[in-house]
Amino acid sequence: MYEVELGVTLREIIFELAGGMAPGQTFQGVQVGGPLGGILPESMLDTPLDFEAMAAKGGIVGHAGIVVYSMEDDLMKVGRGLMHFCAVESCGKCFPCRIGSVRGTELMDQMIETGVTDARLALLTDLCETMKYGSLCAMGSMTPAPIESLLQHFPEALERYRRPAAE
Amino acid sequence: MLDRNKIDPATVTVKVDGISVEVANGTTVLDAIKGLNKSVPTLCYSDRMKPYGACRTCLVEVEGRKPVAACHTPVMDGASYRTASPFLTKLRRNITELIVSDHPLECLDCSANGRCELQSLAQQVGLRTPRYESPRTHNPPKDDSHPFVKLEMSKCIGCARCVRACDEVQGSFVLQMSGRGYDTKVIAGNDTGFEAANCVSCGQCVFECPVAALAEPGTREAGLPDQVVNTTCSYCGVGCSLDVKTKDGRVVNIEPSKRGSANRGHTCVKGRFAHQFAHSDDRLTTPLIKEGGKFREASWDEALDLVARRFKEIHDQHGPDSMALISSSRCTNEENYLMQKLARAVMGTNSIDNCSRVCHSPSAFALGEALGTGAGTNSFQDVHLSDVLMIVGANPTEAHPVFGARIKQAVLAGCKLIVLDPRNTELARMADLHIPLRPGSNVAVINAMQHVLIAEDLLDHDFIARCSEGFEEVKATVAECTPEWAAEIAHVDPELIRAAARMYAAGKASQILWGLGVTEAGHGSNTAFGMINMAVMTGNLGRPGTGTSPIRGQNNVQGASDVGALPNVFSDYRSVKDPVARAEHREAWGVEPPTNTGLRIPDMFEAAHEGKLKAMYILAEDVAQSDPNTTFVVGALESLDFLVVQEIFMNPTAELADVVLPGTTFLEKDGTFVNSDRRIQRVRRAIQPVPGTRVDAEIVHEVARRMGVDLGFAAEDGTVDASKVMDELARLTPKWRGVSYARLEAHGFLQWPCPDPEHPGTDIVHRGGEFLRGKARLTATPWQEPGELPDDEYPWMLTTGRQLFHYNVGTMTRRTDIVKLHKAKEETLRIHPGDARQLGIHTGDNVKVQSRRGEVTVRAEVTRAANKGTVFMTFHFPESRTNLLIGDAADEFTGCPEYKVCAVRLARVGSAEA
Ligand code: SF4
Ligand code: SF4
Ligand code: SF4
Ligand code: SF4
Ligand code: FES
Repeated sequence: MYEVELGVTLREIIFELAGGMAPGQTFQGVQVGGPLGGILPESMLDTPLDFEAMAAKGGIVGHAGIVVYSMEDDLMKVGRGLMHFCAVESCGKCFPCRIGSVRGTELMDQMIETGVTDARLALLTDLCETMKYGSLCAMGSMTPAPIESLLQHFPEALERYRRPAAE
Repeated sequence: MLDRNKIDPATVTVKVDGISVEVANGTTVLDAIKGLNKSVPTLCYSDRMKPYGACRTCLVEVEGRKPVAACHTPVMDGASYRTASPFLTKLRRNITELIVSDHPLECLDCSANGRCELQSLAQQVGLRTPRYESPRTHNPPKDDSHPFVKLEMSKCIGCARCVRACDEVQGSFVLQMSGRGYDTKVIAGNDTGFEAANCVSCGQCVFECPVAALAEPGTREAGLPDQVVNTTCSYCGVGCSLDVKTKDGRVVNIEPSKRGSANRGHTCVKGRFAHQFAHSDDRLTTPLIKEGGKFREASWDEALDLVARRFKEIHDQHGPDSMALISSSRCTNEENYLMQKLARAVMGTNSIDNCSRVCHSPSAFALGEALGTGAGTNSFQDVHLSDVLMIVGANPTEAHPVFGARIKQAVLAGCKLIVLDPRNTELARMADLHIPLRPGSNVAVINAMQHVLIAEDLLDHDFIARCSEGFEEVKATVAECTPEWAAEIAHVDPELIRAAARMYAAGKASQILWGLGVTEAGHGSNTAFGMINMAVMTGNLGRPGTGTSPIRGQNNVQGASDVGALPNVFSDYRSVKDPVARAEHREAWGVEPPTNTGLRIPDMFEAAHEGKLKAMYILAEDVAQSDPNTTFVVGALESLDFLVVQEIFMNPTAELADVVLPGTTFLEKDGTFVNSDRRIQRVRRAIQPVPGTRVDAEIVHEVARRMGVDLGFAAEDGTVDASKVMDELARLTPKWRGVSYARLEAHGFLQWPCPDPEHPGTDIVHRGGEFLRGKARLTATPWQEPGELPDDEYPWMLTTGRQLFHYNVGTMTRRTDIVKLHKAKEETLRIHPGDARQLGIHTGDNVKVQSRRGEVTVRAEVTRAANKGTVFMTFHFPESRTNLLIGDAADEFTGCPEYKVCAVRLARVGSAEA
């Protein structure tokens, strides 16, 4: 637990205060503020930790917990876990979150098991948009954030699962 | 200084699709959109319930912001909304895709096919097959155990409209959303089923369900109706507006009309589901003539000629007053008008009456005498504006369920409730104060309440001085009527009476509603006078949320009396002796109306026994079963020379007739009814008269024609144009002069008084304390014992009433699917557990109930709904003949019988197994 002033960059926090990556591990991404926060890549590490700057990069400050993923972490599976988190936590009142989180989990499972295809990616993108703009509360509307950041900043994490469309 | 207007302006201006519109602050975006005659898709929204915001299909774009759900988002000053765009369509389509991904796609085989909100939404947004591969779905089994609610929960979309309908409209709280997330589901009770959760089968959950998760049995098989006809329910005085859906000339189903002014898209089990009687196999379909004690079938010509000939003979031989007519509160205003015209203009007698005699004549009498109109002062919607409601001798949640549901909502919203009732009714259980007074003691308790108002100076002196007369007399009469004195008589705690009077007086808008427990309980007129006194003394009249209104029993009991089916008055309660009214009628009818006061129903039977009455014409009233003291009535009818009964089914009264004429149900005719709050509404023909039957108005018209008088409304082929009848009726009825079918068509309803064609109708009579009779009359009501009291031999009090699932003597309801409901199966004697223990009675035991006049045997139901010392039975079941027990004591002013008070003794005659 560190107390820092607003405006300190993520890089300072992770690599100076917290002492950087463990031996043998390479930085892949960082998620701030809990499971509803976007995952930011290396190139965004100079973002200062304050509300506006984080929001501008698609992240949040949230509860300011910081989770760092190394190259050994499979961000596809992380993303699936975050969708599943939403499915477990959803109160079930509004339709996009109640159904979307379950469909999202299934879809990511399918991508992991039988491969990423353009059609599945398009559906995932649509689903994220639907949940983001359609959900009643922050639970459903913010769940897509880490998934969207994945699609945006970590295409290689998905491409690992790419299968030719014919399969 | 805090400028509220600045912080919270009354109106705000927003743009919808570029159109500027000013709306009240707090208006939802959806209402602003609808105000411009635009729409957006919705699924979980229903304008009968609070917005819920779950389905998100109503999303609209807001300039500079994220989209919002229109149904539950209040407008923001200056905001600009867009209701349609490619982006919105895509969002809506993707939401619909999610819904459909957990939905069996079997539209062709579905009861909602063609009327499904999900199906039409999918069409609207252009959804085809959902893209999600092998989604996990919910597939609970179908459940057909409820007779009116078929469950196919695999189709549930989780919108909670059913739950909210049951809570916010019906107020029964049967359903709930249980679980969370993807496993949220609808359950009844604690997943214990509808019956255990006290479902009242109103069908509201089915009506609201946007898909086929809850469906009405039979609708799938029938497919879409080919005709929808709006009409008015013929059961109770709420006057629910119904949409009758027919196919190939038969009723498929009936749904509440969303535009209904009295019911606002709600019905009870009777109006909604109890319609099969119209197509029942045992409808009377041919006139019957009795010969040698047996009926034979006859042609219409033969039967009508016989009726006309015998009426003429008896008229010529014994004079006009040897004949009497009983008209029907089940029939339309136009038919009742024709009946009284037949009596007065053709037969020359004022001996015409209707069954309000046996229910609410004391209410009409007292209201007319004290205030100047024989009807309730305020409207249904006023219960939402009252802060105190006092309900006396009424059980609206069973007898007037749709109004009862509204009262419940008002109470749930914080309105205080005082209930005076010997029974532990549902409302009594919800009440802030329940006075469980002994049957027959109403006047004592109401007098004591007036005593408290005066003794504690809880009066509106200005209103009394300005708007009333007779205060000193009332003051003197109730001076001795202390709560302690009344408590002795009523067997209640005097402090309860004090508290009730204080609570009533403390309300800013207090309203009194009453039912048959007032009018059929002896001295009904005096009880009504007393309640009116209370309202006048506290200034609770002529304003929204105040007033004194009876809740009228039958569908058109108000109308039958309004249009003059009474022995002493023409329509509008104008005395048959009133020279102006006489002149108007003479001119319209071309004959001199009779002057003497005619016979009231009880007098008719008396006169028949005495041999003075020779002939009767009874329209759709089963007096041999529903009137008190059945033996006496049957004897009277048997002693007549000639009895004509016009009915839809054979019944004990028709059995005694010389000629039976097969009439029609409300589904087969045109006309109007007046409901309990003076609302004149159309009845429209939904199906053709069953072959062999004729519309009642036509029959009456024909009888008159064959007696030599053309009543003036029939076309060449004998069909009667109901709108023409209304025109004459309106002309002769000052308070209805503004009523016409054209206006009813345009407005949906008109509440009388409506004195001219520009008049919008009257929701609240006597506004501003300007009473129709000038000043309100305070009426002294000295206490008298009821005609019937318990003694050592007959120690228990029996009171009678209705239950939800049946209607009166059950002629109609017992021929419908209602009988599939467990609760509707048989008559029971309801008795308090303490009393039952004393008598060794258990639920299901046979109990002999003996009064001073007769005895019947029924099964016991031990329940806390009955109070100690008082047992309860209904009169819906002919075989139990409840009315054999009832006496002939009656209200001193109106002759209304004391159905509600009967001393009995009880004995167990067999066990539950027997
Ligand atoms: S409920 Fe509607 S969408 Fe579902 S199967 Fe029936 S008609 Fe089709
Ligand atoms: S039928 Fe009426 S009471 Fe029964 S569950 Fe449905 S809404 Fe509730
Ligand atoms: S049963 Fe019908 S009304 Fe109730 S939640 Fe399901 S879809 Fe909605
Ligand atoms: S019986 Fe009364 S409450 Fe029920 S639907 Fe008919 S008018 Fe409405
Ligand atoms: S209609 Fe607005 S959220 Fe369902």
